[in-house]
Amino acid sequence: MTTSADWSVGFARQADADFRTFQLLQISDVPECHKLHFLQMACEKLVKAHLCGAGTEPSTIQASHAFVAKFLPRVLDQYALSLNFSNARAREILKQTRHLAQEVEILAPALKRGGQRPDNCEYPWEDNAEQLHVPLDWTFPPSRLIVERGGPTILKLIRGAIDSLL
Amino acid sequence: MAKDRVDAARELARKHYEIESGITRIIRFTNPADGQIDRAEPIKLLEVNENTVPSGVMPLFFGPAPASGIDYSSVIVEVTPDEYKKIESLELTLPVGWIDGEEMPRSPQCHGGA
Repeated sequence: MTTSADWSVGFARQADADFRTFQLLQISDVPECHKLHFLQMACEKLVKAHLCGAGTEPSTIQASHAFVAKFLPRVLDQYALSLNFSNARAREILKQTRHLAQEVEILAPALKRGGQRPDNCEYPWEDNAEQLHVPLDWTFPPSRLIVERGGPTILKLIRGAIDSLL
Repeated sequence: MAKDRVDAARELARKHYEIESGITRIIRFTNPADGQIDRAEPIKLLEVNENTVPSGVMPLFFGPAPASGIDYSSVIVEVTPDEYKKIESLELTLPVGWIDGEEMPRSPQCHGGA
């Protein structure tokens, strides 16, 4: 019988592969939307790995993308604490993870935040002025957030949190 | 290394000092083969940051940012001061191809982010 630990490692392995792909794509000419798609998937699977490890029934979380905004900051807080990374600057960076997690979550097309954020990294969408937008042409906030102050440290926390489950 | 890539590396280092006050040193690494074999070779920066989490040598890749004047992709290894000491003592090793290091000092005008 598959245990919750098995599910957790399974999701973590997929998160690991998604994050590696996100990183490899950074030095290629692949459009930004495709790069960020892999970051979104890596974050989602990291969160699901933690949820499964804590006993959540996998079938209840597999079909949904709505976990990153709520749970990614908690996962990274926990991992940072395990490294004793908890000074004032750490707290500031961990606060930034909440913003990044919200923006990463809505990269998934199913999540539109009440229709206010139809931008996503997979499918074209129409805005309120009936203008069509295509992800290939769009600039997404996470691309900026990962290079701003604290951005590389957040990526290191994500990478490290995945590694800690493997 | 092409001059424009050298300039881009300096500009990238300057921006990083500007946005992150915890960065105390940035060292640009090159491989003598860069530019001769692979013009797409990313800019490689080792950054010592007092405000980062310890992670060992964990290279992070970033795409070009033409809007910010950076036309090259980059690889950043961000380490704590303690980890940097371990790199100096060879207890930690840098990625393959990180051979020649050149210090990129913080300019006196640049005090870093708030």
